[in-house]
Amino acid sequence: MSNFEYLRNVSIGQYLPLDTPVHRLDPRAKLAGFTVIIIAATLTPQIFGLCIALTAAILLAVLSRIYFGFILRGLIATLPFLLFLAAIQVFITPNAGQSSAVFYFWGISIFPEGLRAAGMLLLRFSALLALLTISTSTSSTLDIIHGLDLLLKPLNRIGIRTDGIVMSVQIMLRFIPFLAISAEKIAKSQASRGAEWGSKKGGLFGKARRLLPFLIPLFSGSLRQAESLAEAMAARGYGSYPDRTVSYDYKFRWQDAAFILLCIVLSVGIFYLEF
Amino acid sequence: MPALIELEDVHFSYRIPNSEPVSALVGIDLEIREGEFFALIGANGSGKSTLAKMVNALLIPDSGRVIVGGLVTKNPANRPKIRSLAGMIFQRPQDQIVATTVWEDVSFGPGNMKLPPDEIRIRVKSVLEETGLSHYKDRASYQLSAGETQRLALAGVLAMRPACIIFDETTAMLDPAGRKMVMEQAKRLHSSGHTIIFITHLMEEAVEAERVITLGKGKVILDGSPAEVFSQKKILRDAGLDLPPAGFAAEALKKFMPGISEDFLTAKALISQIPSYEGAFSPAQKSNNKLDVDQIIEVSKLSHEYMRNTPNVHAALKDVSMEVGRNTVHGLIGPTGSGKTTLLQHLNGLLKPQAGKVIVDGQNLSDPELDLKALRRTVGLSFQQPEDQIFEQYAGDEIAYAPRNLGVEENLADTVRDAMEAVGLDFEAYKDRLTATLSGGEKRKVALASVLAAKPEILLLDEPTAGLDPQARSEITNHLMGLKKERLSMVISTHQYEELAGMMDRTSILADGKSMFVGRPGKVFTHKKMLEKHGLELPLAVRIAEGMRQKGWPIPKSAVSLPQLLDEMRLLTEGKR
Repeated sequence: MSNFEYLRNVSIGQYLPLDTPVHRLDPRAKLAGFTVIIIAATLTPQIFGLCIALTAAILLAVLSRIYFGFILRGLIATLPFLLFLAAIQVFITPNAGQSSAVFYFWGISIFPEGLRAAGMLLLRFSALLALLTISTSTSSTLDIIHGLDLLLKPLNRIGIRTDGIVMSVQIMLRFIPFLAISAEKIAKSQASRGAEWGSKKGGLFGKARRLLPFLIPLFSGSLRQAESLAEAMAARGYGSYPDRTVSYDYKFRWQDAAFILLCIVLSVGIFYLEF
Repeated sequence: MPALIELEDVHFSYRIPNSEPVSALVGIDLEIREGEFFALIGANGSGKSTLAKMVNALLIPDSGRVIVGGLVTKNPANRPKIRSLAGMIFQRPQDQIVATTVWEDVSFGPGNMKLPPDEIRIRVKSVLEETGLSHYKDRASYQLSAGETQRLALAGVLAMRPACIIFDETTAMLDPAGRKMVMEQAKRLHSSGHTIIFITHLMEEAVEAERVITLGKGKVILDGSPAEVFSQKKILRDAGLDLPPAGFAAEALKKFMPGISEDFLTAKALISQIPSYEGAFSPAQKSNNKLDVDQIIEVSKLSHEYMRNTPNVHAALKDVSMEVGRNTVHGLIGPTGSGKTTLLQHLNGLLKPQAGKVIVDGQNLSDPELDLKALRRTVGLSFQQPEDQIFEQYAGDEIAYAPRNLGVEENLADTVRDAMEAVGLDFEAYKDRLTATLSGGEKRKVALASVLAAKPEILLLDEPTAGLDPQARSEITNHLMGLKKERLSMVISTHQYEELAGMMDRTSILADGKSMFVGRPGKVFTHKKMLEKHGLELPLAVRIAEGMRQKGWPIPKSAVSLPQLLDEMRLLTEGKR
């Protein structure tokens, strides 16, 4: 009840404005490089690959001068949930049959496959969380939007309009902090009128009902805001022409090419290398 | 000067599914010349905003024509050009910002016009300099202060180099400094050749224009210079409008100063005309009724930081102290961002003191054993624009929410009835009204009643009159006066204290998170320099009273609102002093 500051608790997605080689990368290179490496870390079946991903994340964190406490804060917050998932993995992973159980207790056997799966899960989540935190804290929202815009632009040639997609991402990113602010205001206002957050009474239906005083103003406020925004955008000439021009052009340097290449090599390693 | 904008017999109605269309404009004929500065006034629902949207081609007439710079709005091919000719600034600046950073947002309009990148950069740069935002070009748009957001909204429109700029009730939600800034910008743009359409419900702003157009029920009912328009009192009042505050004050003062003219548009003109006092001299009495010593709220050395332990940490309160006596009204005045809201939210336990002490009704709010529910029953808090938080379908249910949750023992219907009557809503007529169909002023009353229904002993009000039209504003003020008479303890935070100043027993000035001064309002308003430094203004009544004192009138400094001033005058003329 004491902490209504929702904005403060958003850890992923906090841009740290520093001047480092990673921050200075071309937005296309940043977006493409991080995307490739994150996909590889998500999909790889190799435990060794995950170790490479985690090492790469640590190196990137050092290069972009992000202190480990910042990354750990996000990890610690999700740790109970992760451990729970890992524990489930230990028990439900089917035994392939060849190996003998490592532990026995209370008639439950724990097999190496289960431990391996749980370890993979912990490693994978730690690597992903670290990579996501580093990518979002080195890319400003503008980097993300410009990178996306430039990377998607070639699709225009085959007749797919990408401006709308990029604009939607832009507006979404712009409104997330506002949503947190209005949620905070509504929660406080309802608390002042005796609303109880986190009360366990009344079962699922009762809980859902208690959320209504919070959700209805949040949605109606967002709708009103969306309506005003649409009007303000139209008034500023949005939609006058099928496409728009932008005020930026980026120069793709050798460092950017090198970064993408490095990310691709790492991703291949993450995906294929076996110990 | 040639006509920049022409409206010819424009009719428009809003179509609502399953019901009759609502007509908004009924045969408007209007010609706006290039370089003109005109104010558009009218009661709620008179068609002001609809008319503005016609000029920007956001709305197209059902019949008749709108021509902007020689282009008819009906033709879709003309619209891009029209939108770059006529820029529009709306009421809530934060709803007009599209992009995540300042630079990106300003380049949005020029980008929509398909200007080459070099040209966009030149324009954005010059507009940022013009609006004083150059230092903030990479700042995230949500991290801007209220004033900066307002300037960004303007910059975004100016980057399109419009010939005409429409301010659509831009000042309604702003503090005095914000209003002044917008008005100064409008004047500056006007002097550099822009055509300005200034929509407002503040008559003191309308008098600053060259021409005032008054709308009533979708028609132009008055059109002329401010002096001409504001001399038509009857027509204005029939249209739900009133005189500028100075004219209103002059009308009331005339009873005591027969020589004074009635047609003042500004306070300055009124004050210069005050005659010398010729009555018997009797020194103003010092009122020495001591305030109640029983303090119901004690705040000492309270500090608060938002986003603590993050790179974006921001100190909202620094060592603030104040005391509120039982059954008194304490005012918190200060500009937007001065910490008023943060202070109020400490008083019912929404925020825990990080440093310092808060004691409310004998309870220490830092106590970990504190019963928050009991505290919130004692201390009701009404938020800024509380109508945004209405969630029930029926007004009666909305008002019953707090007493249901907080377990008020009396009969629920009676509790709701009492709360509704305290804000002037008839129980039978309003309890089953759909909240979505209420007007802005009615919604505010419902929201206020929904806090009163918990029968608090202390009422905290955050900007209770902000954003309302003058009529609703004076109604809410009157009901708050009624609550004061019932001896409810209140803390009112406001930057619109013209009317509310009269009911405050004590007032704190907050600025930059610090308490600059605490005292009786009469004393607070003697600190003119300090108020002005923080973008605050003296209430009109205080300025008039000061002018009168200079002419020898024995008016005490405790008169800070027009009713109080008039009471003093009555005492003088009746010779009771």
